[in-house]
Amino acid sequence: MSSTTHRAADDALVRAARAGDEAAFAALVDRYGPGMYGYARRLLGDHVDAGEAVQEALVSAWKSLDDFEGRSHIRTWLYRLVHRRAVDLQRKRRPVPVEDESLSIMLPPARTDPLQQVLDSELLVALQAALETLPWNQRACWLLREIEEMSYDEIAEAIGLTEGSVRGHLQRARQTLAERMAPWR
Amino acid sequence: MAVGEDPLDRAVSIAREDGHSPDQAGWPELAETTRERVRRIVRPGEPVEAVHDRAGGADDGSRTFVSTRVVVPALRAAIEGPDVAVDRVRLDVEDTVLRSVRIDVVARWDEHLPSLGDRVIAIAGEVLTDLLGPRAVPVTVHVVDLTVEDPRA
Repeated sequence: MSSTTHRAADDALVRAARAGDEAAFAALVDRYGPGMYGYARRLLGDHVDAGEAVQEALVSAWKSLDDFEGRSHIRTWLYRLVHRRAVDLQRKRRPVPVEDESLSIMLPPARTDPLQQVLDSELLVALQAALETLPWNQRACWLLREIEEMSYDEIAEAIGLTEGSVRGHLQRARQTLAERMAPWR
Repeated sequence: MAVGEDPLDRAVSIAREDGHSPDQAGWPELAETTRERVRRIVRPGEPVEAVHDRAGGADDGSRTFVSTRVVVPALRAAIEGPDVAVDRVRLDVEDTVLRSVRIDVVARWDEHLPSLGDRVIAIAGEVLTDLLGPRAVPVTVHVVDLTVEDPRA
């Protein structure tokens, strides 16, 4: 499906959901929910907090669809909602050391090659540990750019920064992560 | 990881795949809980007074109100077809009296828009009369977008 057709299909779902069509909203949840959850997990480093952030964001989206003016893409709006909830959760909680158990939820799906799976799992755990050393905005910018593949203006819209600031955070995040992951070469 | 492959690139590739999968740990349960919560939420609406001619014309104080949650989906269901979709309906309600209606629509690019607007206004008028009684309410139609294909799709 081309991006234009995809956008048109999303717009039709938003129109239907705005009029109270639960099935249309469920289709939006199925389309963007997994990515929102993946983003929140890696941003917060905790699947319970991530689940809370995503659920609150989606419920809020359902209640306030009338406020969505359609100036940005629905995906960007949903990520903005989940990012705001993640910020709230981050402010409330005390810093805690990262436990192996909380990282285990970051493991990739099972693959046919056991050795490759072990390597991939360790690589993901290392990535998560490296991500959690980054300042909050750097982590968010990096995740939205590299994992969610958003444009700079979409990232700026999603997390409430200027495009210039996004570029700055991203550059510093890339540099730090490259250094942290260098021992894996 | 292939020989020479950058570890960060490899990690990004796995994280992209895992982070968008509907099968990722925790997501199926979370999706179900979210859908359940959405089903239980009653979206806000406001009452609109319906006016009907009663036999003898006596006003005994009885009133009927219809929620905007009923009026908006009814308008949408009646208006939509292969050539037009409703983008948004705004009801201007003042002291439970419906003062005006604005309907934003998306039309097919080859539609004759003035005729489409007249048709939407006529349909809206019938729906409002049916739900709220024979009170004249101004209806404004705004064509906010055009699509090549079925605008409802």
